[in-house]
Amino acid sequence: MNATKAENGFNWQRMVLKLYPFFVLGLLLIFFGVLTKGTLFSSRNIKNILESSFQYLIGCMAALFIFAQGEQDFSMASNIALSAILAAMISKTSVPLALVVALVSGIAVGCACGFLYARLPIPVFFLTMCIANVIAGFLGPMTNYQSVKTPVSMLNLDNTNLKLLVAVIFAVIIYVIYNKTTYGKYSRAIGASPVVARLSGINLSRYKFAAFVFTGIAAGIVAFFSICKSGGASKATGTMFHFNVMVAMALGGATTGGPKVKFRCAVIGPLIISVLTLGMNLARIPVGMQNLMKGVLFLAVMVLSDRLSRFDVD
Amino acid sequence: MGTVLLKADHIYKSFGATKAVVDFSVEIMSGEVRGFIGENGSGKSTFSSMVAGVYKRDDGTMQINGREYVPHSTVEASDNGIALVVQEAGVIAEISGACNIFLNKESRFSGKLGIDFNEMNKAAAEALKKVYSEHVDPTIPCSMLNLEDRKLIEIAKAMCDDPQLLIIDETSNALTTRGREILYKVIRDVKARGGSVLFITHDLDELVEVCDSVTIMRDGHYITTLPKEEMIIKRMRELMVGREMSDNYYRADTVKSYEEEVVLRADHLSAPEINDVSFELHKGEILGIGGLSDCGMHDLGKALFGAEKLDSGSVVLADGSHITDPKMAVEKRIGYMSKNRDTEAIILQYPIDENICIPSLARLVRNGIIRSREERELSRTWADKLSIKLRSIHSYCATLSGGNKQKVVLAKWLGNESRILIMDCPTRGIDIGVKEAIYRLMQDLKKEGVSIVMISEELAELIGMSDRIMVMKDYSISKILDRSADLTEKTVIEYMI
Ligand SMILES: Nc1ncnc2c1ncn2[C@@H]1O[C@H](COP(=O)(O)OP(=O)(O)OP(=O)(O)O)[C@@H](O)[C@H]1O
Ligand SMILES: [Mg+2]
Repeated sequence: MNATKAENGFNWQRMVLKLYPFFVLGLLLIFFGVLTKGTLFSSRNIKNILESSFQYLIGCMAALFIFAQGEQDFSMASNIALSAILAAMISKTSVPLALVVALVSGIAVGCACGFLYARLPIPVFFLTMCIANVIAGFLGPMTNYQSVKTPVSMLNLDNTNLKLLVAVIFAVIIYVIYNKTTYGKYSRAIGASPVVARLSGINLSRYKFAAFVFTGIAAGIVAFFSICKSGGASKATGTMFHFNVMVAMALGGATTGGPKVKFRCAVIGPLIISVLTLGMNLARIPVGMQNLMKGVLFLAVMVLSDRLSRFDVD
Repeated sequence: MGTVLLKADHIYKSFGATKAVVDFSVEIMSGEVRGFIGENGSGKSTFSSMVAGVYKRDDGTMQINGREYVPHSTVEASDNGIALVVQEAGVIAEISGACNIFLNKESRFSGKLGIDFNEMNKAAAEALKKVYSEHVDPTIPCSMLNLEDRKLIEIAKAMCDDPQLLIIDETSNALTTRGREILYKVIRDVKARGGSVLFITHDLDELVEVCDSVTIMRDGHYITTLPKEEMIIKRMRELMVGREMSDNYYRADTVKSYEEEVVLRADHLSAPEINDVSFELHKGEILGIGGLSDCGMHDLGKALFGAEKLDSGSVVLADGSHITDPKMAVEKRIGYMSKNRDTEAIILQYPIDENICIPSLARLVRNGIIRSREERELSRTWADKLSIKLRSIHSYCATLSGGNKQKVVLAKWLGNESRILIMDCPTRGIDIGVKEAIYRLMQDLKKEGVSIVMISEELAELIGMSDRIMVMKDYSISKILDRSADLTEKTVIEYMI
């Protein structure tokens, strides 16, 4: 009958609602651009923004699958700490080996979480929290409660261009997997309704497991670059990482699981946080005030996204 | 019949670009049972939701007993004596029937220490008794009840305050013969005490039997209202669809016909609600399964798809493989349309096109990448073939009317080129125009060698379409009846009870 007609031209309201995180980012850029009289856009500051968003870009993109499934991975921070410490220990022997160790350790922890998540009827929240605590418990004795130093040569790898390259490659890969393969689509379907997903022939445990492998890889990458940057690792490495990923994803528009979790959320979210932080620093806003403003912005976005969920925006 | 109870004047309602109700005016008298019919997506649910305070109208006025009526919520509507039984599941599954019946009315049972649940349960039992449903236990969570009993809970909820206007939106399809009898009795009760009923249905025989008059809608518009003596099925059908329609939409042949080849064999299946069931499904066969709603036929459907844990027995395909889980069933080209549409068959908060494609995705992959063009074509083709009424194929399923959601379920499994289709109440909530199309489609599929298991509570459909009818009773097979010209509903019912 009229399955294809009816797309009544271009709908502005719909468009704006759909892309509101872009508008938030745009407004922040304009606001701080004006407030800092343009210093925000100096090449050094642009570099700064990219530099500070790097780890959260990687983290958010990898966490897309878990978010799409309507879950969270609270073990990411401990995973990063563990991987960073192991990599730092090895780095004295060989730097390339350190990268391998970071990735392997990250993936191993991811697999462990994924395996338990797929098999046990425990809410992921508790499960990953427990795993995080178990790991954190080992880290102290493992490092003698000190930070593990890395060779000075590694500091050369702390290079914005290199990170940009890694981020872009990672983004392309995740974009393709998330939007063009069954992994991404099934994850969104599972998040929207696990029951229907199962009755449509989707193997839930397989995709639940896979989601954690992605965050594991991200933990490895983030761990490696963090020891390059700081010249060492300790049990404090990566603290609050999962929390910041959550905030970034929410600011990017991913507040619930399912089809609302778009690839763009993982890119916009970290950028919003970086621009906000840098902008406030440049504008010399005191730290207390900064936290207050962040809180207010976060609340505003949450309220907005709740409003949006009542519209039919895909 | 005397005074005007509900008067609606020039009502409009749009959802974005969709004009769901357009310039709609109608009057309902007190003591009248008014039928509402129209094709899927013609605006019946939207109009009744506005009367019941679920949606706000865009324009127009409503009066109840001559007083201006602007409901802002369902609570306000119920204060005005208007109760609605919704088309889909309207109970909260996690809480008990009693809590559902007295939702928002808990304060009636406030005792010294919060709510007095004993009192509430007693009152709920009373309310259920009033709607002839003593068999439903109001103390257990609704998720443990079958669809029919959940509907009866809703009816009890609607009836507990003796509404002036009872609106029943497309409920009969979820009910068995017994459930329907209960519903009709309730309708007669409302009428007897001078109240009115607005009855939405796609079953015209039922309509003629129950209603005093009928209002016909098409594309959101008011077409006409016919009094009892003019309610002739052929005429109503044509008014609804806007064109001539054939009289008989079931199969024309009267003998069973299918190939020898067995495509699926159920081998002594046992589960909590299935008791040692064995049968064979042949290539090109339509196997009907009928029975009372708790006879186990719905569980059997699930079990054939590998979605129900079996205590013993197995489902075996022609190639010897055993179906153990839904993933495998889908790979073997089996499709399963659950009766619980909104929770088990489609994802409401998910785009229409993606819903249609889910089972087929694995097939559309080349070198690990989904071919988006084929994916797009698949969803468009089936949305068109089944004439799903939609605004954009990327909209969420939640924006579709009830019947159109059902079509999405069909599209989903036909799109995956299923060789075996397990259909649990396939024409539920579907208008007669599309019903005819679906029956025709089933016959085409049959010709192509697709085998269909059709679980249904509609006897006419079972008799009209099946090669064999497997009647179930108390979790096991009570009789298998062959297709024949002189098979009557009475015979089938005899084996059911
Ligand atoms: N929440 C919504 N958002 C957007 N569109 C909607 C919404 N609800 C209904 N519609 C649209 O409004 C139109 C009328 O729908 P309605 O549910 O009233 O139909 P109906 O007559 O009850 O059909 P059915 O017999 O299939 O139940 C349809 O085109 C439908 O897609
Ligand atoms: Mg409806």
